[in-house]
Amino acid sequence: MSNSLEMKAPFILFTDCITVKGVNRSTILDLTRGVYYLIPNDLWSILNKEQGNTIEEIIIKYGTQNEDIVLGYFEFLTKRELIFFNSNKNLFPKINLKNWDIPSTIYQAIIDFKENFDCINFDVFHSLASLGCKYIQLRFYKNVNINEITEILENTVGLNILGIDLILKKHDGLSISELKRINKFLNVNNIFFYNANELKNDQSFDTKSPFNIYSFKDDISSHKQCGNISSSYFNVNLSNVSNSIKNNSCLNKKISIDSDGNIKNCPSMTESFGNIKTTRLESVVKNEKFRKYWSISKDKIDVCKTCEFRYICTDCRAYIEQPNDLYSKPLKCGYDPKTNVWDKWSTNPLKKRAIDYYKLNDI
Amino acid sequence: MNKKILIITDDADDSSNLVINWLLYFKADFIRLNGKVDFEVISITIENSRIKLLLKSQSTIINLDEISVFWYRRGNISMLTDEMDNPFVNYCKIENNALLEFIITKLDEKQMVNGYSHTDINKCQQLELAIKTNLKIPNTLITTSKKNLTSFLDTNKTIITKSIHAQIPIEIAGISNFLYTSDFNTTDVSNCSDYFFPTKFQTKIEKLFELRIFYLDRKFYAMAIFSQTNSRTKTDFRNYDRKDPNRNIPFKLPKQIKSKLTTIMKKLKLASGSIDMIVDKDGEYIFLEVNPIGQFGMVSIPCNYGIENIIAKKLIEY
Ligand code: SF4
Ligand code: SF4
Repeated sequence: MSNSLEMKAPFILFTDCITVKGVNRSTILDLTRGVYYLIPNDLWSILNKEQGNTIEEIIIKYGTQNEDIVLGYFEFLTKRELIFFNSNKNLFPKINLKNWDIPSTIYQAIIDFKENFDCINFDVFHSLASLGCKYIQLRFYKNVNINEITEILENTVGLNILGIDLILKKHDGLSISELKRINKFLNVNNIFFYNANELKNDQSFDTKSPFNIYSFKDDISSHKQCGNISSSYFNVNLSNVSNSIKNNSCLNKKISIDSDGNIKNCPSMTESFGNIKTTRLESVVKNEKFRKYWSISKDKIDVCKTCEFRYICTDCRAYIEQPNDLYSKPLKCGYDPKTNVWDKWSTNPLKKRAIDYYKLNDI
Repeated sequence: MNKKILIITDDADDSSNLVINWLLYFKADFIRLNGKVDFEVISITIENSRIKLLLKSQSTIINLDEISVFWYRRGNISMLTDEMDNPFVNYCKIENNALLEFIITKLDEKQMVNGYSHTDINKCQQLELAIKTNLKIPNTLITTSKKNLTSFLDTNKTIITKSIHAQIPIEIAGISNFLYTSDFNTTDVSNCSDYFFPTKFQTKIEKLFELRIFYLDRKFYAMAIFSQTNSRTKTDFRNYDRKDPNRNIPFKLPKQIKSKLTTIMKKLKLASGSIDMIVDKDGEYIFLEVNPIGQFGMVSIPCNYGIENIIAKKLIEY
């Protein structure tokens, strides 16, 4: 028998760690430390039914033939500091994760640029700020130079916007050293270069820059590349989990402007709520139809609702397996909660119809 | 008439920024003054059973009639004075102080959450009040003598030292340092001179966890801080461990502790404050101190209590 374990004291799972049950296995989300653990459903049961009991009592209940397994579970829980021992379980109420709320009508925005920069002329950034928007992603699908970038960023100066990400195409007309001119825009957080190769080792850039630079090889030709679901996008923190329990983890409080100036939930959606030349963002967000995706939480989505990753996963409503069913699973997810296997989504024969529907064959 | 909220705070104060985000979202009418606030009197009219106060600060006109509620968080309030060097200096000072006192009284009449008076409550007095309310406190010695200290260490075995009251940074070679609570052992005692500056020592409590409690209008928002597993944060949880942060989780205070704390808060005339306690190995609740101006964000965010939203609504609905 293990001697490092407290056998006779009632155990409690730290309430900043929550369990999520899947078809075959479950997860523990450690909201404080930002990590998740895959656990068997047996352990999920112990954590949800046996809190307040001692390890000794649990071993008796589950039978001595399972003693080693139970002890193994508790060694893991202790080692990861997921449980503590206290005889008064009632002193430690659960965190209320169902009251997610933020002081923003719109929290995040995507603006796509291709040929025109209309959004500068139509006061889009002011509208976004007055709606409470804190994060903006600017995606460029053409070669832009540093003057064009700074001209756009000038429009965000003095606004209460916490973070701006730039997604840029790497090309000869935009050198890394020129990016220094972006330093003065303090809210620029990240710059992503696509179509880029040896950027990582580029020494010409001052490492003390206020933003991060990332680069990746792929060429991004259009918004059709968005919507991939991958475990590398999982986000384990209280605010995100609590939002995902109640709302859509991609589209809640999001607004977007596609490269033609159309106001949409996201640039990949077909439905437009007007063009920025004639319609104000403030009036679009009041429209019930515009908000219809916001409350589609993972618990309402087919397959996802049985997935152990549902509260840390991103979502996508623009590309779904059944284009006519608002509640069907994201098309670009290759994970099957029944088999626990991640497959390539794009070669899955069952998804072929949807792939054709969205014309995603060529990307 | 349109009623306004007046807030005096610091621009770097996270907790007030969180509340103000909500005020903006609710489109509330408010005036925010940051940092050191110098009031300039435009006029104070006291006549015909009414009082009118017209002030100016940071180029904002403040008409007391229009202020429905006053929330003080941070910063110093004083009267705008010219540098003078004439026989009237002292006279003017007294005149100004009287004005300031009156202005603060009038503002505090409209206070919510915190007012300007009662923001700095003597910590020795707090401990006295705690024992009178039958709340346990750590054995405490404030002394100037090595002899006293030696016998205190003998009886208590392990002790800590912390400031008697001050919570300001000390700048050494351009770097700001806070004097955090720290262990004090036999070697430290032997390094002391026979007599020293008055210093506070307390018995070191073997804690199960710490409690950080935000109190607002008789409601308690309590959080347990588990830091014991990590030796670096054992003595003062403010020495955060970035990699494996402490676990901060909601806590439900037992009724009798709540009622004792309510008594203390009432006696201190505080509508709100941040209370620090320890639960020791025997499950005893030990009172440490109360800070009238607490960083409620550090309780509200991990426990998802939404205190910012609650305060914003209180300010609006006042
Ligand atoms: S709905 Fe899909 S395509 Fe649209 S932003 Fe979200 S992930 Fe991207
Ligand atoms: S099934 Fe749903 S929740 Fe699970 S990984 Fe795929 S998209 Fe995410």
